[in-house]
Amino acid sequence: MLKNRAYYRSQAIINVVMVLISMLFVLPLILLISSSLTDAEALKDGGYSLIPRSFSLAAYQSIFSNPQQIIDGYKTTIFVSVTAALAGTFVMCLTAYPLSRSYFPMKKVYNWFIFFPMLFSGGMIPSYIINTQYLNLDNTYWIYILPALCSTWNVIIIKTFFLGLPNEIFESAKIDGASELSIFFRFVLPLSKPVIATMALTTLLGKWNDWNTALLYIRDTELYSLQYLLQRILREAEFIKQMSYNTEINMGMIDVGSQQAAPEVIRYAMCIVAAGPALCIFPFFQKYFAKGLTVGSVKG
Amino acid sequence: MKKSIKLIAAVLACVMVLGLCACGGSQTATDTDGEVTLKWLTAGPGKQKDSDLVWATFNEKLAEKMPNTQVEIEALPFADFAEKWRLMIAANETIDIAWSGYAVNYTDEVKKGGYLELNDLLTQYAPKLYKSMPEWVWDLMEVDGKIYGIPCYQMMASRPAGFKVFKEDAEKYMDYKTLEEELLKKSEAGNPVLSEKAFDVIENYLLALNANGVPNKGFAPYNIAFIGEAEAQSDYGLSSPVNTVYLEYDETGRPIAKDGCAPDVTDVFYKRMAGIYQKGLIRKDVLTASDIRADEGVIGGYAMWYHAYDKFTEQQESLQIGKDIKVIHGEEKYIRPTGPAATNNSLPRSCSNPVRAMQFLEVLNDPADTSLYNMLVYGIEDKHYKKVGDNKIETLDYVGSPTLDSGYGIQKWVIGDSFNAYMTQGDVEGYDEYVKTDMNANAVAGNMEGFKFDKTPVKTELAQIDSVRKEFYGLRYGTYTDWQAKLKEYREKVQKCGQQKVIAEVQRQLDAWYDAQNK
Repeated sequence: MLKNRAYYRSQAIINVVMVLISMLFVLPLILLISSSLTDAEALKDGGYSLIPRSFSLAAYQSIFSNPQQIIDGYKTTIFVSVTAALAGTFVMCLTAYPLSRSYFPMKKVYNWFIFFPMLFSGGMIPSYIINTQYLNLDNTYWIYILPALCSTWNVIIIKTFFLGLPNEIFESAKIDGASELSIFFRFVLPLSKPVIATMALTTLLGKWNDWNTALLYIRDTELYSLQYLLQRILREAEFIKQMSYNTEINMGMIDVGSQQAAPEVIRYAMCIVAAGPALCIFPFFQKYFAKGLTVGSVKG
Repeated sequence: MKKSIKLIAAVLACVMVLGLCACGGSQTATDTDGEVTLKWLTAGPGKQKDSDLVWATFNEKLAEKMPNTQVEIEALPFADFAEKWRLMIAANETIDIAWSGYAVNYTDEVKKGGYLELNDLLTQYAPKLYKSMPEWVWDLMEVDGKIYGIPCYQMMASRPAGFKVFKEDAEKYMDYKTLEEELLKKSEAGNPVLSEKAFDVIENYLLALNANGVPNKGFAPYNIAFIGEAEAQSDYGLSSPVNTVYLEYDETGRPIAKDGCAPDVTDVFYKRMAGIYQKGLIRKDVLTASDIRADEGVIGGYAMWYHAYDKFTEQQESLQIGKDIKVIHGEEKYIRPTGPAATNNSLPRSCSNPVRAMQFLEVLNDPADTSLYNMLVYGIEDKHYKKVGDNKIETLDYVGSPTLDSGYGIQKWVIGDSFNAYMTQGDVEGYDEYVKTDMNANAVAGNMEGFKFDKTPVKTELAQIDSVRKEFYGLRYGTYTDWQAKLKEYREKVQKCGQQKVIAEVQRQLDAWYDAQNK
């Protein structure tokens, strides 16, 4: 009885702590959603609250007032992140598999080739030169997808997971006459669902949140990724505001009258529009995710 | 192990060789014959719906004037311009003309070798363009005696700054004549701080508004340093190069650098601001508010705010706000700025044909035929604008500044000489004329014209001082109840950051400059 009570008490304490910690993550999100649904004036005067003080959809209306751009942005982002996630995971698994086999002759050399650029990469300007002047990838969908196909770090994680698969499976498959490819497709891939799901999800989210690629390489509005589009609307407003503030006295005729900065409400609404779908996808992957994250750490 | 070291060495060697190759590839072709396509990297709202159409039409028209020349325009959004420009020039991409306005640091880019020197090209291939601007405007663009940028001609002189108030309220409750006198006195003498008398007027006005129930949000915090800290001087062409240093002049006119953080210099300002804050005359959340300017020029917003003005300001802003405002003058002169113009075009070092690029700019900015320029700015007639007068148009899908959503439109001050632009429904009649003949022509040199402070010797000190200043922003808004203790702490900290070294460095450079001027 006494033991029971102590048990419940400790459980209660742990739960309370966990609830508090999760509140730290959940509350800002709720605040964000509620702020995006608040009337702009009310937000300015009254500050933030968990329940919108005066409900208004104006921010969303103004974002979707030019829906074509947002639709294009969604199209680009969905296509790019799904393609990159699927193709990327596949390529990374294909890369990792031979590296995980002890009898692969060139293992050391390839390992080194893959590992070295992770530590010493060329940097932004050389990759920009390669992508634009030699591969001509700029201003196409390819720039989003191709450079993201193979991430060294992910290859190492996948490789470690493959190393953990029981060796007996490979031996018996070999004895039964399976080729390396059929071992890969019929045994390795089905057994590696957690790590595949994890890698697919991280690539998907990475690509979903990526705005830098579009900033550097994309010129046509139709090819803007969603994040970049939203980022741009905000940055443009912010930038013009800042410029007009800082150099007021020397700006001359540069007129900023009609370029009002996007009010805060619109920013929050943009966050929701941009992050929303990714938030919804996450729970479906979660059961794999936790497992996939730990796979790199334990062998055997 | 040995093998792998060898391998690493080999790879590194390859990388270095490749790196060297990449650096040596700049082109110096200057031929003027044959088909040329000039690449023009400009800024604006970004590529719009009809951009391609307008640019194609532009090239057709251009062919009539400059056969064999085509222009390929890339319009980057202002916010992205600096980043993309840096990347493109580092990658040595061919760019024939590039905007070099406020988004990039003109002087830094020149020092890095980003732009070609233009003196000879200008006089030889663009004489009309060269003559269209006064000599002092070109002087602004000089770095070590050479010109690297062609200003997009517009308002070049600095506008003075003063207080703006609502006319009706000020006439009832404010002794604005005294305030104006005190402001003018301050700028005349180059004092860093406004007098107590002026603060009395401000405080009494705000109190009177509250006592009489006039809805207002008090004293606008933005630009407040201009009435009470050393940095105020930059406002009046007295140009202290450092925020915590102010200048005085001895009887021979030699500038003397003074410690802006010495006791008593700015005490009045901090004392009065603390008083204003404690009486509730400035917003309580001034240190944390995200946009302290949102209530400027709004009915029921701030009661007074400090800003640049000119002859047309009262008329223009009263219209915008919907209530008459009054400007309390702070200075009667237009001062020539000391830095480069805010918006220019340059020929990058990767320019493939500088002669043709310069010839093109001459044609584009020709005041005798402004149709090319105006097409790039406003688009195509009857599609993007309607002609309503000889030189007057109405833009069809925006008023004022075009945006990404407009069919087409680029800010006139990005493309070229903005005095060649058609007047739109957003412009005030007579304003251009006033700017050109009154402001630009009559602008006077500031006391420190030609002096450029080189920050490198005291870079670390300045960075440290700057972070201390930010830490104590509460002083200038008066938010500390124990402002005297805080002020003492602030001053001690600034001195520890090497304030004296900074002052000595400023003085050293001032002396060198002054002696060179008065040989």
